[in-house]
Amino acid sequence: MQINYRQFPHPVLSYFSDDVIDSDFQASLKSSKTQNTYIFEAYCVTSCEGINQLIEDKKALFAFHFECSTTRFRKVFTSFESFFTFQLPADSIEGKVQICSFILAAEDINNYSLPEFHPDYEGHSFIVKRGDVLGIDAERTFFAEKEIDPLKRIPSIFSVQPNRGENVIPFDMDSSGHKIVIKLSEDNFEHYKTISLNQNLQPLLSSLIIMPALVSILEMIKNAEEQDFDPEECRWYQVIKSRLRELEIDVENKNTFSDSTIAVAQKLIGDPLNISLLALVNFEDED
Amino acid sequence: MELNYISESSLDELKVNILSNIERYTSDEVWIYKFFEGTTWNFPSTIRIENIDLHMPQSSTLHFDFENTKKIYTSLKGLSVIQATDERLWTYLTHNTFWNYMRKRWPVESYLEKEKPVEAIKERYFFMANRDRALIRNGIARLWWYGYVSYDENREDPFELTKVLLSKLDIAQSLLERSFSRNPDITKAVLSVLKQKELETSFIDRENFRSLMMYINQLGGVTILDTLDREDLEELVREKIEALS
Repeated sequence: MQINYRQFPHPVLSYFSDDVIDSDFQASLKSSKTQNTYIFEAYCVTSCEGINQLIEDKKALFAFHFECSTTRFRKVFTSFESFFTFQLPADSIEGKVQICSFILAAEDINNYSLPEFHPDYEGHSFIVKRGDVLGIDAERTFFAEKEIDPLKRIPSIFSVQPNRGENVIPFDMDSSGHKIVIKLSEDNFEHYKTISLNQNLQPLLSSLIIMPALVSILEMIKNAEEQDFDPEECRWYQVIKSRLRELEIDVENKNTFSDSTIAVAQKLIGDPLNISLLALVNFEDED
Repeated sequence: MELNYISESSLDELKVNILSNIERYTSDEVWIYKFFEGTTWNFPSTIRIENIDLHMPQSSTLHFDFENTKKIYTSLKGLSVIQATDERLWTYLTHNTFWNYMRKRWPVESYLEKEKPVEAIKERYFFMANRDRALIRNGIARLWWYGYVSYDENREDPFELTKVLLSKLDIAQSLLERSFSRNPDITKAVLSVLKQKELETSFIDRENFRSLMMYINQLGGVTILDTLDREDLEELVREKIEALS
């Protein structure tokens, strides 16, 4: 569920409007995982006394709405208490999970009015139905890992495959799946296979194949180009995002991504160029 | 019957080579063994099932989706959701176990005239990039997911709602591509009211059904429908259908 700056037919306590003044609503969520279960500890608080009274009267409640597009999981967890816990089976979610936190009407309210409403609403009351949104906190994303981080190393998010067609592009890539698939023409793939058997030449392959692909991916992330798929759902994206975080680069905050993508790619996979050049120099010497 | 997975690397290779394999996709013979000759391209899962004999589609309108959904879901009811979202499993089934069915139901010849035949093959024989839609576009996975979202064991015929889902009007596509349909209660509430209306012989046409879908979507922006119980949801759907009729 994506919350837009939509117009509600009644005032809503939110971070993006002043329908309810001098009040806020904050919801926090802590997660932990056992072998088969995700356990969430929720804490919700609002400074709006009018809403607090509704919650005390069991006319409103706190809610967390979970939605996972990978597994089509969608469920809401609710409570009249500020602090509450809930669980869900580990195999019900995978990859990106969108979580929205709300204060909802627990029953139909025919004369919904709060002392904290903006003065524009003075003297007005509203009809709200059970389930209607009364308050919203910012949406958050949770990433449910299928296994315990099996792909943490950057090179492991790449898969090099032969492209067997005629007149194919010698070197191309596809990033729409969980891995970044590097497509090499058959000739190139055969050479790649031969070279990959030689441990000393591995850095050369990184420089020639992984580095340009990684730079291209980083450019895409840095410039946040429109995609016909959501990279958030791809496992490779989560790995790169978490490794960038270690370099204090936040993909959502472009100010932290000021270095060139070539510089960042080298920080992510080391300096294969230097080792490759050294290998070539040694190769020359041997001749 | 063993339920196998294609290996991840073989899946990548197969996807990279859709275009160069296009002629193979028009072959009536299973070709995947030959393509991967000499390599270990699949491995067995822990799941054992009875052989599934799917009804062969006769034409683009007589495709037996309902009958085949019953067969697939009944046999594979034990799959976990995580297994049912695994592209490796469904790709093995589309390219091997159910190749004959795929040839009849999603013949690649019909894609060759299209602008992007590779994307069309990816959609039906693999998973398309949009993960949510992928599940209901893959030729075999869709049959399982149709069963999963509509199977109701509280009914005398647990597949009663599945029949409504796959009856007409593109209900399956219009409904399952809306995010509210991820909540099985909402999906079943819609199908259940459609079933009642069908019994009352009120005809719901395609346009009204789409209006109903739009209405629920819009309503979901104000009301968190997931907090409502089945009866409330059904009432809400019924009122709207009556207003549209």
